[in-house]
Amino acid sequence: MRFTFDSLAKINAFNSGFDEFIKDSRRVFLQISDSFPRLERKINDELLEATTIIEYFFHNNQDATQGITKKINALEHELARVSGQIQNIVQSDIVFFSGLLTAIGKVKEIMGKIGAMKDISKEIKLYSINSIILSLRAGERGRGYSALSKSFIEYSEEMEKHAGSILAQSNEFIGYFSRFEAEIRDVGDIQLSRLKQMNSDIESCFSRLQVSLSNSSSIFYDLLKRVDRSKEINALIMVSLQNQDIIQQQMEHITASFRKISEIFFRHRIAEKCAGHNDSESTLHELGDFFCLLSAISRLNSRQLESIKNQINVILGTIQQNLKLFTEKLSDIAGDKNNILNFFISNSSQLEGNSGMKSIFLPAIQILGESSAGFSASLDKKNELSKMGSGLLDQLNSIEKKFSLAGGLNKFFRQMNTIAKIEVAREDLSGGEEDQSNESLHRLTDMINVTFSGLVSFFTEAKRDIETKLAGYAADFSAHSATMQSVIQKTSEAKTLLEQSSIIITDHLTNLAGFTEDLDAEIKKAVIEIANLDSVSNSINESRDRIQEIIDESQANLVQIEEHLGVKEWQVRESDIREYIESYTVTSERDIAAQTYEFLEIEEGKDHEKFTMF
Amino acid sequence: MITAEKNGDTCRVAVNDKSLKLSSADELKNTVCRLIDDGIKTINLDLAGVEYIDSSGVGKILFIYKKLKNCDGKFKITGISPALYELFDALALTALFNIEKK
Repeated sequence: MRFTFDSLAKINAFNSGFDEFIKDSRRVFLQISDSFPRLERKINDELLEATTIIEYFFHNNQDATQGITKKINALEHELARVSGQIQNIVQSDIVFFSGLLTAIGKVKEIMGKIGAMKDISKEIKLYSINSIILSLRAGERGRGYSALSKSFIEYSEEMEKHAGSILAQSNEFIGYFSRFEAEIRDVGDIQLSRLKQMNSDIESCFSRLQVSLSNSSSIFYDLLKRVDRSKEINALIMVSLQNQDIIQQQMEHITASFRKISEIFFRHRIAEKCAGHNDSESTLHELGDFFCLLSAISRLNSRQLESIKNQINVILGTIQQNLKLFTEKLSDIAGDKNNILNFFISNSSQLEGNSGMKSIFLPAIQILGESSAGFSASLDKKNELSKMGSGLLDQLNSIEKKFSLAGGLNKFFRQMNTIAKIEVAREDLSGGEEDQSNESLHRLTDMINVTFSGLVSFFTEAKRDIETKLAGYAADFSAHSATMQSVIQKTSEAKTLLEQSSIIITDHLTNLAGFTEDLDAEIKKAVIEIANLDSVSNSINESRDRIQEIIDESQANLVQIEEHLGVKEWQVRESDIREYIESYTVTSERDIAAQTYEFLEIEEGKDHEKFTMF
Repeated sequence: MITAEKNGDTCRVAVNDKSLKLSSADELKNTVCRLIDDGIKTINLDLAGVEYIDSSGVGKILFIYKKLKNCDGKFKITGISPALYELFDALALTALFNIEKK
C-alpha cells in the first residue's frame, strides 16, 4: 500500500512558521509587558514632579522647611518683630511727649510769674510817681530822690515792656508747642492705631493666606492621590500579563511535540513505509500507530492553540477593559484638574481680572502695601515733628534773649535801688508818708529782683530740660527713622515676595497642566501596542488551519489502513498519551490534554501491542 | 445621591450625600449635563447636606459653572454650610460663584 504523506513537510512548515509566531508573540508580549511598568514609572515620575512642586509651594506644615510657606512663616515672624520695634518707637514718643509736657508746664509757670513781674513793674511806676511827688514836697533834699524816681518810672516802663515781650514770646511758644503737642499726639495715635490695625490685618491675612494655600494644596494632593490610585488598574493589567509566560511555554510545547513526531518519523522510517515497499501487516500497524499518534497530538495541539487564543483574548479583554477604565479615570481627573488649574491660573472677570491664585494673595499684598505707605506717612510726620522741635528751640532762644535784655534792666533796678536807699539815708528822707512809699518802692524793686532772678534760673532750667529732651528726641529720631525705614523696606519686601510668589506659583501650576496629558499620551501608546496582541490572537487561526490539514491527512491514511486491516477504531495507548501529557509543565496544559484525551475516546486497557513509537 | 427638581428653565439640583466626591461628583456632572441638554438655563445647586468636598467635587462644580457660563446660563450654590463656605472662601471661589449661605 502506498500512502500520500505530506504531513512531515506540513509539520516542518508549521514548526518553522510557529517558531516565527512564537518569536513575534514574545516580542509583542515583551513590548506590552514593558508598556505598563513604563506607564507606572511615568505616573510615578509625574507624581513625584507634581508633588515636589506642590510641596515646595504649598507645604501646609507650620514647620515647613522649604518653599513659599517657609518664606511666609518667616515673613510673619519678621513683621511681628518689626511691629514690636514700631511699638517701642511709639512708646518712646509717648514718654518723650510726657516729659516735654512737664518741661513746658514749667514755661507756663514762668509765664504766670512774668505776668506778676509786669504787675510789679506797674506798681513800681505808681510808687515812683508817688515818690516824685513826695520828694518834691521835700524840696531841695528830695531832688536827688526825685530824679531817681523818674528813672524808676522809665525803667519800670521798660521792664513792663520787656515782661510784656517775654510774655508775648512765651505765649507764641506755648501756641507753637500746642501745635507740636497736637501733632505728636496725632502721630502717636495714628501710629498706635495703625500698628494695631496692621498687626491684626497682617495676622488675619497671613493666617487666611496659609489656610488658602493649605486648602489649595489639599485639592491638588487629592488630584495626585486619584492619579496614584489609578495605578491599581495598571497593576491589574500587569497581573493579567503574568500569564504570558505560561502561554509562551504552551506554545513551545506544541513545537516540541511536533519535533518529537518528526523524530519518530525518521526513527521508524515512516516515509519509506508510506511509499509501500513493505506492505506487511506489522508495517501497516506501525503506520496506523503513527498516523493515530500524529492525529491525536495534532488535535491536542489544535486544542492547545485554541486555549492559547482564548487566554490571549482574555488577557486582551482584561487589558482593553482596564485601559478603558484607566482612560476614563484619567480623563475625569484631567477634566477636574483643568477646571481647577484654569481657575487658579487664568484671569477671570469675576475675580476682577485676577486668577484664583492672585485673589488668594491679593488681600495680604494690599495690606502690606497699605502698611508700607502708612509707615512712610508716619516717617514723614516724624520728620516734620523733628523740624518743629527745632522751631521750639528757636522760640526758647528768642525768649532767652528777651530775658537777657530784661536782665540788664534788672541790674539797673538793683543798682538804682541801692542808690535810692543811700539817698534816702543821706538826705534823711525817711519817716512819715515818704518813708512808707519809699519802703514800698524798695520792697517792690527787691521783689522784682528776686522774682526776675528766680525766673531766669527757672527758665534756664526749663530750657535746659526742654533742650535735653528735644536733643534726645532728635537723637532717637535718627535711630527711629532708620528703624522705620527698615520696617518700610521689610513690608515692601514682603509685599514683593508675595507678588512674586503668586506669579511663580501660577507659572508652576501652568506646568502641572501638562501632567495628565503626558500620561494620556503614554496610555494611547499602550493602546496601539495592545492592538498587536489582537493580531497575535488572529494569526493563531492560521496555525490551527495548518494543524487541521495534518489531522485530515492522518485521518485519511488511518481510514485506508483500517479498511485494509479490518480494524474499526484505531486507538492510542493511554500510557503513550500520558507520557506526552507528563511532559507538560503547566497545569492548564494537562487539563486540556486530559480533556482532549477523553475527546479522543482512548480506551484504557485496549492498548495496541505494536504501538511502540515513544 | 443627586436629585433634580425642574421648574421651567430653572432646576434645583440637590446633593443628598455628606460628601461630594468621585461617584457623587460624577453623578452630579452627568445630571447637570443632561439638564443643560434639556434646555435648563439656571441651576441652583443645593449643598445643604454636604460636609466634605474633594478635588473631584471642586472640579465638577467648576465644570458646571463653566458649562452654564458658555450657554449664558446662571449658576447659584445654596444651603452651603459655614465650614464649606470657609473652604470655598479660602480658595477664592466665593468671588467666582454666586453663593447663598445656609
